[in-house]
Amino acid sequence: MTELITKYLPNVANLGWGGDSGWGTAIWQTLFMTFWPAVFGGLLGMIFGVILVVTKPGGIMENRFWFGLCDKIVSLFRAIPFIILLAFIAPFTQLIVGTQIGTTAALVPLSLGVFPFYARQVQVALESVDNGKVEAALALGATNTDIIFDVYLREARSELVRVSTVTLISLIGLTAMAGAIGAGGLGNTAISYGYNRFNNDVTLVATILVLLLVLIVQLVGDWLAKRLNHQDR
Amino acid sequence: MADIISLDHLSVTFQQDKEPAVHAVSDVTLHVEKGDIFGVVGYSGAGKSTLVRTINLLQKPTQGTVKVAGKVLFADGQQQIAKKDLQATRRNIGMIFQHFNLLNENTVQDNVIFALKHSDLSDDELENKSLKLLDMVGLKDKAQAYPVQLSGGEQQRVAIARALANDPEILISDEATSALDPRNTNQILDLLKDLNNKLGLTIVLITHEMDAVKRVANKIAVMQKGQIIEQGNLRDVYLRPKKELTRQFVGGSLAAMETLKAFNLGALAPNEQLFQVVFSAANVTKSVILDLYKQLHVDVSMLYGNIEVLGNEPVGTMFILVKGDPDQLNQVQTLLKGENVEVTKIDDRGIWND
Repeated sequence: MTELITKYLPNVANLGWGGDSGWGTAIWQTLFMTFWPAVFGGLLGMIFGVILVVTKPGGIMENRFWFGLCDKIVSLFRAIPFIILLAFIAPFTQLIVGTQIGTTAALVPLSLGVFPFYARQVQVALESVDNGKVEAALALGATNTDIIFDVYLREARSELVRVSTVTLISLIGLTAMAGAIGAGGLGNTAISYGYNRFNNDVTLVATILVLLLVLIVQLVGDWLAKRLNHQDR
Repeated sequence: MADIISLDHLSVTFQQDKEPAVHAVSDVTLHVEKGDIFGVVGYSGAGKSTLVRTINLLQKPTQGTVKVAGKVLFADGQQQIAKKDLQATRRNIGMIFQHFNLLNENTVQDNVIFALKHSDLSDDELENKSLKLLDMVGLKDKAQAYPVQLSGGEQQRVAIARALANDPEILISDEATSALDPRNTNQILDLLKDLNNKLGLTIVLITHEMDAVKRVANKIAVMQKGQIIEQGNLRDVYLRPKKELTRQFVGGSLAAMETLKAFNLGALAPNEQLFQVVFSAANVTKSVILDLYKQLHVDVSMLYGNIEVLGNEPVGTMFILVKGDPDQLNQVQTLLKGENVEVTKIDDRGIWND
């Protein structure tokens, strides 16, 4: 195996496993940059998505001010191209994680980049919950908390898994761009060690690894979404 | 008996930007007594759903007073009760819907338990009570199934079990049988009637199906354009409908009109008149047609006849075509009224042009 790689993909072998330019490091950085922004951005997106649904006109906690504010924040951050966002919020990143470059520094823009996208997806998923169910819960004397957790989030759970899958995949895409601020990862390997050095074999392998990651996320997401679905559609 | 639900001078107006206001309910007064099965009928868009949604304040009225079980929920354009108390009050008012509105990601049993979330029952008691409720609607063996695995009729039974979880005094049924086939409809209605008998449950039944009201209700209100145009005991309204719309709803008039249209009789001749005759239990067996012939010597042909059961009492409806000279025709109504039957002369335009 090692011989084969050395023979046919010499540059891939040269990068090695560990060290700054190693494959293991790159894979680890990509997973790291996917995981934490998924947690932070996901949480933030979920909160914004829920607020958008419950405060919308006709929602259970209708509130023009909060709806308008959240809606505008989400729209604004979605409108900023990610690569610009990276640079734009650098001072803010410095404030939060104490550095502007490297893998950790990428977590802040990645989280902020993914949250508005996720918020919209969550909003759409929650709005797919039939208003009749909300009304039935209200008629049973349910509180707003009951309705958010037991009706909206629970009824939409399969749809939420589906949109989370989509978001996670798009997040993996964003991590590649984070290479621009020295964050490493497979995207960086493909560009810096592959494309820029005319080492096409490196680019190829990095691409295949990203595709594999995406594929795994997709398959697990699909399986889970199907398992959790008891809607009659 | 005391009123358990009092809606007084209630109006609901929907105002959308720049568009003319929609008066979904205008100045409606409706009183439901404890133990009533109160049918509210009317065509789609008459404001039935909006009206009953004010009972548990799912719909806030624009004006008027809502009083339920002795508590004023809404008056003077404002909610008169704290949010927490409203939630508690709502648990005393069960509600079932046309599309069941079960939580599809919960099992049947968990749907019932969801309704009991704010009760102070232990887990064991929740388990027992939910199974007892499901047993009451005949679905104990489906406790672990998901709603999507059940038929429409079964889902509505689960919804009934859920609505009754907190032992409410009132049950509101919003077109609950409209999405069901006739057999399931009758089963659900009989179940409601049974619950009314056994638990003394007060039921408000909104429907556009007169048959449903006829089967179970003891009182009826007919709604049109946001107003109640007629209300009272089912039997009184049924036998002596005052308004045109009510007549359409009761006495099988609509079905009769359809039948008459199907005969394609054309316009009536000048010496012909069409009457709707409604007669109650005591007269069901009387031979009205024969009496007309014997006493007035007019030709009578029966175009449509039907006997229906109101509650437990049979009531008949007939459409008869009477042929004779004007003098004779004038006497028809007088004679039939003497027979203690309800008679209405039908304007033929009402049939052929409506």
